[in-house]
Amino acid sequence: MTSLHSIQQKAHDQWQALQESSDPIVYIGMGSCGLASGAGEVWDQLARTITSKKLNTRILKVGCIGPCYLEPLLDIQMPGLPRYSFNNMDGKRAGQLLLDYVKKGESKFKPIGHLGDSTFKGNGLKSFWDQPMLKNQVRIVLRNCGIVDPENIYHYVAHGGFTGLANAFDMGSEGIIKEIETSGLRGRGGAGFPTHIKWDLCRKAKGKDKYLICNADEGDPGAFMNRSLMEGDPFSLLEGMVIAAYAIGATYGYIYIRAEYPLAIERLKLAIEQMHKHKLLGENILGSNFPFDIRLKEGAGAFVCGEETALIASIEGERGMPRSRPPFPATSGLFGSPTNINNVETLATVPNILREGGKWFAGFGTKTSKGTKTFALVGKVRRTGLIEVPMGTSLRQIIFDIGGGSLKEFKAVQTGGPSGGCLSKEFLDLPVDYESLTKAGSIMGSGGLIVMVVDTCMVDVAQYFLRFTSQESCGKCTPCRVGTRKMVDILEKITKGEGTMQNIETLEKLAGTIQKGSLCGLGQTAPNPVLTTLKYFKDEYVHHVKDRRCPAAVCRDLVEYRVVKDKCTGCQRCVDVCPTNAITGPKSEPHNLDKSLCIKCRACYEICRFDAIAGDAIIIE
Amino acid sequence: MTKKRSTYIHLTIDGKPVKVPDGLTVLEAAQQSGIYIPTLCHLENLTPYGGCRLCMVEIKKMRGFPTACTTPASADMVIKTKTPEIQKLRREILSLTLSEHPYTCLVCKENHECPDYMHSTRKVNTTTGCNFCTSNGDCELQDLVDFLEIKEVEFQIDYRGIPVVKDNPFYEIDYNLCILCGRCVRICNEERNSGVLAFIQRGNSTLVGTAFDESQKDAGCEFCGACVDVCPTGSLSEKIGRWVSQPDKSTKTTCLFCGEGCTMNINSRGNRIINVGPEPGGKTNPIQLCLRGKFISGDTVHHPDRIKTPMIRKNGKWIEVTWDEAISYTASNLERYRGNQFGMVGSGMIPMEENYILQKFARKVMRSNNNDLFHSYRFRELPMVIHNHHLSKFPAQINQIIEMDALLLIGTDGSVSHPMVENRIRKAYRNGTSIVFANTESNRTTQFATIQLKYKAGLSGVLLDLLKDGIKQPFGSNSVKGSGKSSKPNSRIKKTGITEADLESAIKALKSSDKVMIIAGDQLLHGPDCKQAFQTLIDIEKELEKDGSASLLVLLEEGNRYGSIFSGMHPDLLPGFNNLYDTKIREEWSTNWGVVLSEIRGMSWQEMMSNIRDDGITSLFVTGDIPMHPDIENLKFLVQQNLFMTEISNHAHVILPAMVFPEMSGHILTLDRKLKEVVQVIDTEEGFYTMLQVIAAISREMQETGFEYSNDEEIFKEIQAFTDLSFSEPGREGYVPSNIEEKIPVVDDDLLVLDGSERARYRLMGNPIASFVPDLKEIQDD
Repeated sequence: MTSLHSIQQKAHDQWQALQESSDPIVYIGMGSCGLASGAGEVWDQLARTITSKKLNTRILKVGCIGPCYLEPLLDIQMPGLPRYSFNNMDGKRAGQLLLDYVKKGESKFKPIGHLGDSTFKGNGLKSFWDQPMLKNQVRIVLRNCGIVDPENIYHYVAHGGFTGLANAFDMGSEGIIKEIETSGLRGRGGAGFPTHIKWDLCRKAKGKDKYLICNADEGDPGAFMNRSLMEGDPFSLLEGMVIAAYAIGATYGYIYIRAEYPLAIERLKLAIEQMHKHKLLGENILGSNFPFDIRLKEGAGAFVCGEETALIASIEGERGMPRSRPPFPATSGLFGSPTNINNVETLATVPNILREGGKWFAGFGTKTSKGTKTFALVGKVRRTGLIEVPMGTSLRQIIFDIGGGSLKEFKAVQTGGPSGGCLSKEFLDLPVDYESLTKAGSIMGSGGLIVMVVDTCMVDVAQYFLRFTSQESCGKCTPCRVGTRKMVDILEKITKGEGTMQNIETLEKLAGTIQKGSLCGLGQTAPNPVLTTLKYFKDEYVHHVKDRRCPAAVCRDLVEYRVVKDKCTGCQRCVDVCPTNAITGPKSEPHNLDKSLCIKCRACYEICRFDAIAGDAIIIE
Repeated sequence: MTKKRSTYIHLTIDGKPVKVPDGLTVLEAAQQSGIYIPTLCHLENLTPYGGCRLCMVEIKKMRGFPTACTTPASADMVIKTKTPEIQKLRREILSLTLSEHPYTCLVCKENHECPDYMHSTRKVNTTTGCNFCTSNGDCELQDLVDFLEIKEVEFQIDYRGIPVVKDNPFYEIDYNLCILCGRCVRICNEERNSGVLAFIQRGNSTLVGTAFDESQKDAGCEFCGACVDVCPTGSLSEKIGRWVSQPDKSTKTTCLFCGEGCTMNINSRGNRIINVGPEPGGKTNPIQLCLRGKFISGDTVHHPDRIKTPMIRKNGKWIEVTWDEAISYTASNLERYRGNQFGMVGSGMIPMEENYILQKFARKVMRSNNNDLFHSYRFRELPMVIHNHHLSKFPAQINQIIEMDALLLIGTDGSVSHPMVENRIRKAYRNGTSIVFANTESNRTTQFATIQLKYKAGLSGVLLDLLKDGIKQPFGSNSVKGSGKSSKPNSRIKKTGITEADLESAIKALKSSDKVMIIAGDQLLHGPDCKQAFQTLIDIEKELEKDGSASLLVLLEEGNRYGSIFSGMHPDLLPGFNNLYDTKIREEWSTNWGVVLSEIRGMSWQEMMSNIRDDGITSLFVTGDIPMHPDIENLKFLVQQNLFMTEISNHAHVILPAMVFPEMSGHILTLDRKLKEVVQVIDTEEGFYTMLQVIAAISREMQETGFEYSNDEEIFKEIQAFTDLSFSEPGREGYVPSNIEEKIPVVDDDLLVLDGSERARYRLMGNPIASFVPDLKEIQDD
């Protein structure tokens, strides 16, 4: 273990030096989310400012810290002070901010919080973690995201990196599995299979070569937990993989990652390189005689490749089509060898368990669902972002306390992606754990949470998700390939006002056939969005069918746009956005809307500040 | 091979206790116990797929409805195959399949009346219901609709509207009928290793297709037709017989296109070949064929250009005549050219019986030993050497290829010349067999070679010497460099164009393997140094034998080359590989046939051609076709019995209609010396003469006897009586007939070109197939 000690020493020194730096240091959140909202521009502007003003300032990139709505985020660390966080930056403001701080030690741009520890009591500034969005979170997997430089192994080591691995080597494979059992860790990919059982099955399976695969094919619409994690803290995943491989006796690992995640791929590659350099991968890891290597396999964009047998087929170079089980991958998986597949989050949790102990981890969560879970909180919610909460936290706490509530009146929350379901407001106090969600007709899934408000049409939502699974079906088995298509067709009819009550019955029947008849999880769970909306929002279907009306005013064929003359101020904003010139009228007078030109694009509705133009569902006789 | 201990397991299927061998799937266990489980995508010998979901069953202690085809049977399983719930689920799933398949006739209440009124419906452009489908009556969907008693489809019907692909050679593709069972994809990849078909697109748009959506031809399709054979619907169908309706007869016969002698099943209706493929109702086709076997025979038999009437050339014009007239004209002319000036060209694509009477006619009536096959070996003793080798050592069998640890392929182009040998080679490759592929050029086999030795043309002898020397060296010594031969190995290696490392690893692979098979192909057999090369091959076999077992497979071309030579269609050999120049044998056969046989050395086919110029040959009887030689026009009398008018027909004096093998009956010897039967599949049109009738009539006209057989069987009996077809002669290792003088004939350059060309192999009785099958021409033109 001497080699780890020497790394740890160096890491400690490097991190210490950074904290005690006599020069200002700027940290910029450079995950895909930050970059998308302009972090790249911020970086460029700061770099220019530093060069032109000859400042002794360093800029460091960090991962995403979570609150997407605050991006781009940057921290400034002045000598002797902790990091101060500033939100919604752009290049111009960032440059000004830096100059202000270097010159005056303060700026007109106010920080939203500091990242100092509890000993720091500075100028009435609250801790970053005390914000409502972060206050109720417990960050275990995400602990390093946004804090450390994801491209620097020393930063990770300085935060306890690889201690879990060192402990694991001391415990031996049975010891590790025992510890995981104590922790109660269950698969974070969605199904919630106990991780220790999975590992033990693979460990006991007979076979010369064994493989460990990390499933990083995160494909649910609106989900980005794994991406953020890999971009913000790639080493935790890799350390988890080495531990898992050691436990099951695998000598080769694959990370099956979406090609749509170029930044995560780049950072993982850098991380793997550095681990090789420090003998944390390759032959004889940390002098333990254990050889293990990891290879990245980029997916080609098929959602079904997140299904483990399809994923295996894809790595083998075949078309990503699921295979029937049994045999299970644990006995005959990749290239016919025993194979263990875990989700990114599961594997990234492992080092924490091995470092802090299974008991510590089991201290979080509920009786059957232990620990914490990350969620991508998106949709019509005030504070969007990546969050991590203990299992058992209620949906209300997540959406209202952390997310700050919905933008309009709350209607439903979709959990678990296309395989999950939509839960109505009656379920807001439902504790989020595997069993409760399944009981309610949805699933935990990998952690997507989409909040929907009154102007979301549930039939439309069901159609959206079903169309997604239908298009992403691999085409192998009939119920999924043909059945989902039939359901989409029926839903389309309903949203066009051409549906019948008979259609709704057929939907239910088809859902049953697809659930029971499909080969893999994709098909078996595909009808869930329809089934849950039918269960909790059946009246909306009935409105569409019987009244030819879309209560949420979403389904184009069932609504007509009209101007409420009394309310219209004649501001002309709608005239500007209308792509077909359907709205006309002089300024300051109520506008006219020519229905024959209107394509129902909703642009005017969105822009109208006074709700003067409202999609009003009407009856089509 | 590890010995499998056959253990049995007990399980309960539908309440019936059954006992089956361990290692089966639930489906196989049920099938073995006589319990029917419906399937659509399942096919024996292919990887279980589990896509159609119709074989779902209920198994105690297992979640949901596992598919029988993929679930391994284990002891004490309690399985239910036909609960109401399963049947309902199956009905719904099949309904979903049908909702995208033109199925109207399946559930039509009046469908039983339809056939009476729908004589011409099959000629419509697209298939909109069963009555318009080529597979009507032989469709697995129809069977399942009956089994599941589907009366109507409750889901919305979608016609996919995919354009029908008609521009492929030989078969049409209508993916509107496709149910995506994946059989074609799996057979193309797993069984044929062609790797052409794959699934394309995803979701509901999933289809079977090729890489980058290229045409089958451009995607490398070998047109073996395996996909057509396994298609459970009418999605893939042969163009020939597409609109003829279902066959009423299936006949098993032997394919004569190459020496493999594959069994083929020809489906016919009346006198019309519908297709070559599985029997109607036969869900699987264990018989795998190739392009020629599957697609060419029907195209040939029903070819509109076939010669149907005998013709005589009068004043430079062809006059159609009666058989009697043609026979007496032929007989009276042949009368004038008896003796050594007459030549007989037989064919390797007609049964032994026919070649037997042809050579008997030449030897007995015409008193000439000039008997040979078209495209015979330059070293005319070669067939004798091969035969003798097979007598001393049982010939390797095609089916053994997959059991080998290593293969040495020399001068082969299996995918073209012997597709089923190639098929076994590819399977062996998949099993991990080392494949040393020595050839002068790369071909399709290259991608299945573990070591390729690409040598310069004409140097097969040198290459084989190098291999032999290397193999002779004991293990561990530097086998290539350490050769004790006087000529420096390094320069020899250089000369052949291969690398030392490749040679080294080839030798190592062969030497270290337990079971080795040597497969010799055309390039070697027709090469200028074929005699020496073949001898070296035998030496290599003997060397390899020391370290394990070794065998030799010689890829003779036409279906009956072996049998034809056995029947005496060879200048030096009487039937049964009997040496003509051995006085005792000659006298024996003189007695057999009641004639004094000539002892003048016979001419090979090439020699006959070269001797026309000096009037060494004045008349020829050609069975089938031979390539045009400029001297042919100098022949005094040329009889051609052929299927089509060809280039040499311009110089013929009499044209006699010939039959083709689905019309013939008799026996053949395959390249691995198996005696197989050729069965008459369809009757020829009235007025056709069999070979026996022709020869018997001519000899009768010529006042000769000895051809009074009433049928083919009597000829075969005569062959059996005079020769040993059981090949029970004692080992004759090293036996070389002493008084056949070895003489490599002078060969014209024109003929040499033909020898090497690939086109030469795609011949039917000498006729280039591409000249009368445009679909084949299309493939070959690229």
